[in-house]
Amino acid sequence: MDFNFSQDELDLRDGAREYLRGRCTPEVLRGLVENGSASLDSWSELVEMGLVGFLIPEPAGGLGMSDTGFVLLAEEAGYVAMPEPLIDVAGVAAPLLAGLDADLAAQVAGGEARVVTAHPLNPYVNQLKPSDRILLFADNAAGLVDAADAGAEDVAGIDPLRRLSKVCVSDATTLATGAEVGVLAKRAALRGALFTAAELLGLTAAMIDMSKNYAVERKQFGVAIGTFQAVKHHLSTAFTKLEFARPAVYRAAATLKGADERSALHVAHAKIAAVDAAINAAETAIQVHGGIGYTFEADLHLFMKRVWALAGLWGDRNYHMNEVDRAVFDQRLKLGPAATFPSAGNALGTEELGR
Amino acid sequence: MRLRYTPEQDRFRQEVRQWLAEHVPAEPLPSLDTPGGFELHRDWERTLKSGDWGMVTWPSEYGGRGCDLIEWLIFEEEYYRAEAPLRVSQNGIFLLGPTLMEFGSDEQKSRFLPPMAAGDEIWAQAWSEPNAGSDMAAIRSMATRVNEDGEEFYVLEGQKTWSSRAVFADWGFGIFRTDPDSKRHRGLSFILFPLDAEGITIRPIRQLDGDAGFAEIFFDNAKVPVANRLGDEGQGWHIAMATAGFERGLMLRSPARFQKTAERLVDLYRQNADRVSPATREHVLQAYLDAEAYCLNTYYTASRLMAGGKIGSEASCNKIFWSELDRAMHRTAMSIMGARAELTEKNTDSVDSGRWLDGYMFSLAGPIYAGTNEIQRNIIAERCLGLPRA
Repeated sequence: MDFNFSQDELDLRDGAREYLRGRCTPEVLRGLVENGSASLDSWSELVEMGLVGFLIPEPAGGLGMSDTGFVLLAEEAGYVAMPEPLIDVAGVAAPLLAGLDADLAAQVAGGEARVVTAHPLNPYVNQLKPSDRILLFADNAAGLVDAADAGAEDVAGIDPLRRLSKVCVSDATTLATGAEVGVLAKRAALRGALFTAAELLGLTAAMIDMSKNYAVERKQFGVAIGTFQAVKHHLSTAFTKLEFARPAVYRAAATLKGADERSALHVAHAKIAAVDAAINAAETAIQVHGGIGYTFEADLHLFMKRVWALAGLWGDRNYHMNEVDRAVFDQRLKLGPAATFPSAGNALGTEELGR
Repeated sequence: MRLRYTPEQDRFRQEVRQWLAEHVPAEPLPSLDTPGGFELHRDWERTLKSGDWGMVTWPSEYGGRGCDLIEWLIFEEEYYRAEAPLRVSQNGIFLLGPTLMEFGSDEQKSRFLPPMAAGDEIWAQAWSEPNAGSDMAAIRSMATRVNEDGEEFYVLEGQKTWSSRAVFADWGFGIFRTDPDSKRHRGLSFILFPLDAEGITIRPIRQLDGDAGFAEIFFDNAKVPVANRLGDEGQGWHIAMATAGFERGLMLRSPARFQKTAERLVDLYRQNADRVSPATREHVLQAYLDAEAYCLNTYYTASRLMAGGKIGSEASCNKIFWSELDRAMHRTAMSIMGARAELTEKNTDSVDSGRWLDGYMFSLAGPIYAGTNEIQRNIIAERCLGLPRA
């Protein structure tokens, strides 16, 4: 039993943090919005750092890291509200491609190709470029299609740093059929929800930090508003929710591998906890900021709008609560003390699920 | 990251499970806040000691097994799974014990820890005073140093209140002002005193459930040897904060307790599923998720501590989380039981022998004791987030 990240994972997180906090500052994001752009033009840098090939095996040119490590990257991406579709490409599409088309996976890791994901739970593709390819999940097939052939149609969303496209494909290269489609689609959905949850943790931490900074600077009644208990208690509650969402996300990441029967339940918990923490932090942040928080000028709206977008992606709260409901009431999940972690000899989810 | 028990940890669990299956009383014991119930709980502590289960994390020389934090969590899981009796010794083993381990002299550890683990000496805590509750630094009870025939004593004067277990316990611990000119956090010392000492009077206070779970303690010229002081003179506040850290952090409320409640809540819901609303169903699911989150957070913290990390002010988040979770779970249970919610154990119609009602009342104390949740939120804001003090 060891709930610690490896030193490699922490080192890569630190590197990503330093890069992202320097490259993707609120000033830079505001500049993009003012210029009507949503593109950071940093994809080649992410490739260079190995972040795009993070989950692709080493023989295929990736770093061969695991989901737990990627969760830390997604948190960092969330903390700076990064516009690049790192999670879509590197978190969801790349590890699936590695098992379907190793050459294409290698091209993704090397930056020669970029593959985004369209899925019933992620129907509006973000930041689609004409040169991209789309890993597409439909009812009975999984396929690849060039963005140029996808009949992409712009869809307007509230987050100025997301660019959404609805794809309408008539013809795609088939990658999988039959039962395999369901398996792949589920893998995509689990990773999508997990890494989105991690991104929400980062956004939550960022909103708490910017609210704290504002509460230290802003003076009323002759003192910083952060001296008032009403303000303190709002922020402490937001911080506590974050502290208890984080291990749920980490556990979901650690148990995703192998697709055990509890993966979907653990991911559902992660997404619910992260969404709840993030929505609470967003509402707290705007309250602490007061009137300035309700403007387009303050940085807060960029983070808050990202939260609203991600809350519904890869399964909203209802979708995941239904998953929890099925596990608890239909599958009669074993509950109570000693039912959280598996024993040494037992594959997760067999003994635990029956009773 | 490897979230799976080792074969050794599985074996340890089996050993605990088997021992508890053979020893846990078949019928629940009467309330530990009644004279008879208290003694039965003390007997249970002695039974635990007979199997060396008094406090598994302590070294064997003090009556423990030298277990690490993961093994302690496993022990707790099995303990709540077996629905074993409440620990009447909890003030001692979970709060004073770790404090003694950190600040006590070798003599003090040898003198106090073994009888604490054995249930032979049950401890009460004595922090609050009538005018020092959340503002604990306002305490006024004095410990004046005197020399009588070459022996040094502290003479205790003053009053403590809300002292859990003090009605029936053997010893108490608390902080007293040893420097009469001192103010606030300075000049305080951490002192251990026998509750039957001359000059000490206990006045029981009946709690919400009618039992005397805590008491006032009056000190009138009560003498204790200077050797009963823990740490240095004037170091009392620092030591008390460490004790509070253990309390808020890992030790006081292990996750198994809340996972057991969540499990019972799911069962209660199932029995009433045909007549309660979908909203209630979601509250039940949320209870499961939050109890699980508390467990995950605890293992995460334990892993971090075992890798050399330290527990800090974020411990205040734990106290907020478990106390509000416990209240929410019991509130949901009360809402499910309909007209039977008000029935106590004396009724044949009562649900679960009135346990939900008892639990609901006790859950209302959770956000108050061990430092109110308002104080915890101040601590988080000031120490974790760096907001300015008022």
